[in-house]
Amino acid sequence: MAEKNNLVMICIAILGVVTVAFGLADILVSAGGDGTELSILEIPGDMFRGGWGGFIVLFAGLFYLSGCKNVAEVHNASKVAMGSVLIWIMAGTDIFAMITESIPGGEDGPWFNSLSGFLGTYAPPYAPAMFLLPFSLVVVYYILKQERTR
Amino acid sequence: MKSKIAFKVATLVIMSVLALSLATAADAHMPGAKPLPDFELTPVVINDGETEIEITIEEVGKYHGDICVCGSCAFRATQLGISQIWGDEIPARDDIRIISRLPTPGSRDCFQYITGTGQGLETNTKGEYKMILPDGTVVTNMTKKNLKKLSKNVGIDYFKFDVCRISTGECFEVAVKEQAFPDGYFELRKKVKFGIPENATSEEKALFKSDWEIIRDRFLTSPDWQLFVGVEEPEEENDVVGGAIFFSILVIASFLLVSLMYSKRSQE
Amino acid sequence: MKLGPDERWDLIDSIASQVVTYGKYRHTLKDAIGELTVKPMTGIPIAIAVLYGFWSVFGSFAGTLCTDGFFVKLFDGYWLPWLQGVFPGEGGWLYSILIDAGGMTNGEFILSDNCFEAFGVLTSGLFVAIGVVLPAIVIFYLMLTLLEDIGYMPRLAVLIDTVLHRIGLHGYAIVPTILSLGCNVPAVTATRILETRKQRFIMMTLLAIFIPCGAQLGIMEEVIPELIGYALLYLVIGYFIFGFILNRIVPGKSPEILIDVPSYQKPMIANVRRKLWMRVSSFFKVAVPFVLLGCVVVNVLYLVGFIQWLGDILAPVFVGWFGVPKETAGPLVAAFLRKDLAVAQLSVIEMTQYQMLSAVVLVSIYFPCVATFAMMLKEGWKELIGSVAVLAVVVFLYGGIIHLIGKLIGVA
Repeated sequence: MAEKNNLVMICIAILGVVTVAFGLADILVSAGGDGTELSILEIPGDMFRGGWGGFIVLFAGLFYLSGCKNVAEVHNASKVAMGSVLIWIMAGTDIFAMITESIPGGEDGPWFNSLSGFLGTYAPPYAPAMFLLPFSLVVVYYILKQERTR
Repeated sequence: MKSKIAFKVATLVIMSVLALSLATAADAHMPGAKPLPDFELTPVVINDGETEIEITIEEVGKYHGDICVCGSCAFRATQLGISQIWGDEIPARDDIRIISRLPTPGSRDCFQYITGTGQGLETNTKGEYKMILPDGTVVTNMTKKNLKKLSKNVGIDYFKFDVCRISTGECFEVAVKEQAFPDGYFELRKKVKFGIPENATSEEKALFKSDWEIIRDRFLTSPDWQLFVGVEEPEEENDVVGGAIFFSILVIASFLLVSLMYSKRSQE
Repeated sequence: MKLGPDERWDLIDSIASQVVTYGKYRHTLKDAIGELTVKPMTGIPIAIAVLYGFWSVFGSFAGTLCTDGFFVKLFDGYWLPWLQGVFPGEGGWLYSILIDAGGMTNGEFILSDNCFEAFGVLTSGLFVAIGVVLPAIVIFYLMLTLLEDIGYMPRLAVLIDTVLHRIGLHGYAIVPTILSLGCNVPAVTATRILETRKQRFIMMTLLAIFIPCGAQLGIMEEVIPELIGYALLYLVIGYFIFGFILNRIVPGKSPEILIDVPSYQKPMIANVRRKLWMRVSSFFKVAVPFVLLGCVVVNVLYLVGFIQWLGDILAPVFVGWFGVPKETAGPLVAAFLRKDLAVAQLSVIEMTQYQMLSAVVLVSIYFPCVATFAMMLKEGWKELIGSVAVLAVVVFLYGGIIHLIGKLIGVA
């Protein structure tokens, strides 16, 4: 059991460190003005998604790190869960923005987007929160399962 | 006697070599110009009678003496004009007519090389090349001396070329965008080359050299929509496969989440 | 049978022992998360994230999907050309008021090619009301309702209580503040939740001056998306500075409140639907008629030359003190009737980015729209006069400060 707890602690700590790193990268890149693209990862350069969003990702990482020690304790578990919620807000708003962009056909185009245009809107690169999303879901699933067991 | 003749021959040879080197220097537009950048320009492909030939910018440069601003501009303009009129078809040389408003040796040589109307060119067929200035003057004397005189007032209006298909009468006007030239370039050129309104300072000459290099490199590397009026920036191609993968993941994950919540609720 | 006191207590103990169980209350995950959202250290980052989500969804739904995606195409591509063709009397005064004020080029009347520039009641008026404001209002109220029903709003009130105390309000003033971002009209009504006259006056004045409504936000999102963040920043700063000053000078008390913070719960769809319908329909019944009436009045005033005349008189103030171009005087004067249209009118005037920012902030703080004005009058004419007096001082001072800041940083 202790070993399992240690493993969970390490995983959440690693997730926290990566999240903090992404948050800092977002803030620093947007402070520079221009965004960056590294293969399928995009660090946005604008103050809203990069600056403001970067702070949120940073806080999410800090929540993970502050709660990773002894996740079995409910207050720590709540911090970790909240970190995930922050990631969901970032990723969720990005996905929602993709959906709203993919439907209309554009200023000079038809009413609705073509199939290639629709699917093309979902193409990479993606912001860091999108990559953190699956891990945040796994973390919350573990915490909810733990809560149910308790 | 023999040694005198040998001496005369040697002197003649040395003088010729010196004269040639000076001539080369005189032909180079911009002494000390930076080397050419890395560029990839497709050749102009035309049919010269039964033979399909590819004309590269390097060949044009060799014919003219170097790859200069006007030569590279003329080359790109010809490529654009041909693609607009002939599309994917290969034009016949004798079906090409080019009307240029630019009285410069670089553009003259390029157009003459492509149409086969230049001096010393042996081609199976010949197209047409005319030089008509913006004020309507038809230039028949295309010597370097006369062109230099005519190029005194060259401005953006001179960088217009009509590429025509003789058989159908279709013409496409290629006009260079003002943004292809740095601000004040033409005034600076007048100052440096002709001393109008006054002789250029050494800083101005250095600036002109740098601007010349920038424009030459632009004509060699920039896409058509950045150089020429009326060419739209192509839309970014959609990464449909990448988008489809992500969209499917999204749909499947949403479906799983909803079914998980529904099963949990029914269990409760 | 009459029981004595001891017998009554014995009976109470007996009933209680049968129905009441005692035990140690264990914090659940929901309770712990609830606590996190209330404590400042963790609550503030969460509030920032919620605000980010709110703003992002607002922009994507209202701006990208509805307005830019469909309504602009519908109104500019079909509605405007059809009306321009069908309505008789092109170039006449009725045509200008109802359809298209157009423009004159070389003595020739040129029709507008989009609803923003047409300024007609049936074109601009309907486009702004339905094409820009409706999606903005719907999504705004939907998200506000969800946040209320989940139980987040009381927590936000607790979180922000300390900050709002500095300006003489308490945490629950966040409710009219946020409502005001949708429409100032219900927000003015919502000030009734505040206990004292002082608090109601401060709140009403601040929201009338410093909080842009959904219509304005929708237009700002449409025409100046890159400056909207800076405009809001100026407005938030002004909100707190002038709130602090008002708290010092307005007599009266600002008592504490006790609020019950409910636990987080799943919102009920029926409740959300009902609240959303109530708020959106109320906006359309109250605000939109004023919006269309304002359009008519502005157009008439433009036609008779009143706005140009007033603009010419006030131009030295606008140009010299506020640092905005002379041409903005007209829209700024017309902003009393149509703030959102004023922003749209500003967008077609040539000016620097900073001038545009100053002009937009000025339009926001300038004067409450006529609907809000009417609602404030309903709350009390003395309060209205007081608010207008404060407003005049604030506009003059704050507008000048913005210009001064621009000059100091070298952008004005």
